[in-house]
Amino acid sequence: MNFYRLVELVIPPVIAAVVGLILWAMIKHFTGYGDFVLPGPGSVATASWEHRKELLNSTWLTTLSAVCGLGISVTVGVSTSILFSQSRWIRRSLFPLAIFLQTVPIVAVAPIVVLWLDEGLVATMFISFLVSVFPIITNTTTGLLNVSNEHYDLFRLYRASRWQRLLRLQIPSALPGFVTGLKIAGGMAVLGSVVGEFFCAEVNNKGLGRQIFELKDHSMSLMYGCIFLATLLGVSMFALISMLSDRFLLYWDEKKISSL
Amino acid sequence: MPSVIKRRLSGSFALLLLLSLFWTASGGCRNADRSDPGKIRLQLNWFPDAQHGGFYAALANGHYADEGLDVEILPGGPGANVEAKVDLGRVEFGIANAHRLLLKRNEGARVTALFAAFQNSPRCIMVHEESGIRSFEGLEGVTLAVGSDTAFYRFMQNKIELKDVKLVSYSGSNAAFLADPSYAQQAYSISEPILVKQKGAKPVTLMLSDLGFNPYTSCLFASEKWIEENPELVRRFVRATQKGWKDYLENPEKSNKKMETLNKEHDLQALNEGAAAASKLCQPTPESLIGSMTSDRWEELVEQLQSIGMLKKDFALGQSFTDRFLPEK
Repeated sequence: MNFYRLVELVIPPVIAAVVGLILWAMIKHFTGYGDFVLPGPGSVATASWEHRKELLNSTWLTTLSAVCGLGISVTVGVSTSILFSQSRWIRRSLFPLAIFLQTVPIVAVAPIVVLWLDEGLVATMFISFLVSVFPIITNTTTGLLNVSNEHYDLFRLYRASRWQRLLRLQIPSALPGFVTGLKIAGGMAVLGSVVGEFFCAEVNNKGLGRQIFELKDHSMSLMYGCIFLATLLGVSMFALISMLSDRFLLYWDEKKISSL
Repeated sequence: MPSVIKRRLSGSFALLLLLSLFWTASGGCRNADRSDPGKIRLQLNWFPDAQHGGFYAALANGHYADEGLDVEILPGGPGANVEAKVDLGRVEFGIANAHRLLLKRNEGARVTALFAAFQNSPRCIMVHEESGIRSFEGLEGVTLAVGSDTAFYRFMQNKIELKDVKLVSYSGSNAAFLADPSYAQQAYSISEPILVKQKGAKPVTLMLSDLGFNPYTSCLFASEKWIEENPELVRRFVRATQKGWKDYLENPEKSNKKMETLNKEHDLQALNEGAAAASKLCQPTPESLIGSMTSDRWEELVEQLQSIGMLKKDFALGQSFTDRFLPEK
């Protein structure tokens, strides 16, 4: 990567961030709101720094829950998609259930999850999985089914088995869809963990969600810090997934290769 | 710098300028003229139940109307940020517990308590009778659900050693408590124990006030600025409120009938039992003045909150409360 490319990549977000901070400070200054309504950037930074150990621990717990939730989502989501791609009957009978997962209000389901799984990491992981699995299922399934007719005919002509067709045709062609799904799911997994912690957290070992839940009552500044960390976690997940997919997966994708 | 980029940048700055102008303008509109009070709004901190009985009594029995006040009571809930609404002038009066007012003042809210409905806090831990637990010292081997109001459990953890107690989130439902005899949860002695009893459970309550944590509860408050601008209105409101609570403690039925329609969780019987339990907390002795507060009690609360690290070390009581609007008897 040459220097100008780096500048092009780094400068715009930095400018946006600086402008954002200035705007925020200006709003705080001109409205004169107290910290309990709108803390300024300075007090958020100070409060977060003072409680850095606690916040790091919370971020770690939420990361753990989100990453594991996403891991389960990938495993379950991809298996389900392959199953869906093999039989129209299975797809038709079970796809509504997948859509149900997408549309069910998670705040209503969380208290039920606690009853089954008890409070703690397992419950928040499960909620993280619940909200992040659908984008993977729907995008991967679409990819597995969207095989060009010419390729399909070619495989039939050579009498390829169902297994060969899946392995050599459908899965490679589903990769871009899977990656798109994964990118959406990464953010959703963080969201699921944070919301899950509102309901299913262990209070003495709390993730960012439970922190936010408690801090709204007595420290808005620190709560803003937690929100920022949760957002940062989502962004990091997205960036990591993008990077890994560019590095390892998309060399399979012929469109990408042809564009090189 | 290439001219294209220059042009684009100057465009962004124009947009920025426009945005900042917009914000300044909207900030200016915030302090609209409020010389005619019109409707006086009272924002509750929770769904209407016995903790708010007296306010409904003052409304139902016409005490607010007698003072020439057109009052509307707005029910709250888990997300009600009452202190911010009052401080920002979206409502005139609010209800909050003493420690919350201090925590919000600590963060810059300029609000002042005017009337404390509960002299003694109904805050308690509710356990099952089957658990054999009868005191805080015996509180062990349970799952304890606590909500976002963390002051009391921090105080508790500071005061006693919790052995084998798993602290979990309380989401407002009693379902988990009813399902598990080794489950304990935060409660108000005037509410949840009565509700779970109706569903067949045998609850035992451990009062936080016995442990020394006893903030005034259901405090009426307003913003410092509004109080200063409308002292006469405040005096009338507090006077009517005190009459309302007096009525409620003597005869809660009428207000409870009203609250029953507003809060489906409690039926009339639960509200009546709640009111009976409330009367001892609101008026511990027949001589105690309903709504009164002392600076000793407030100072003690400040020290307690400082000891658990929730208030700044240099926090001063200042205008946290005033009893100058309270009628003597």
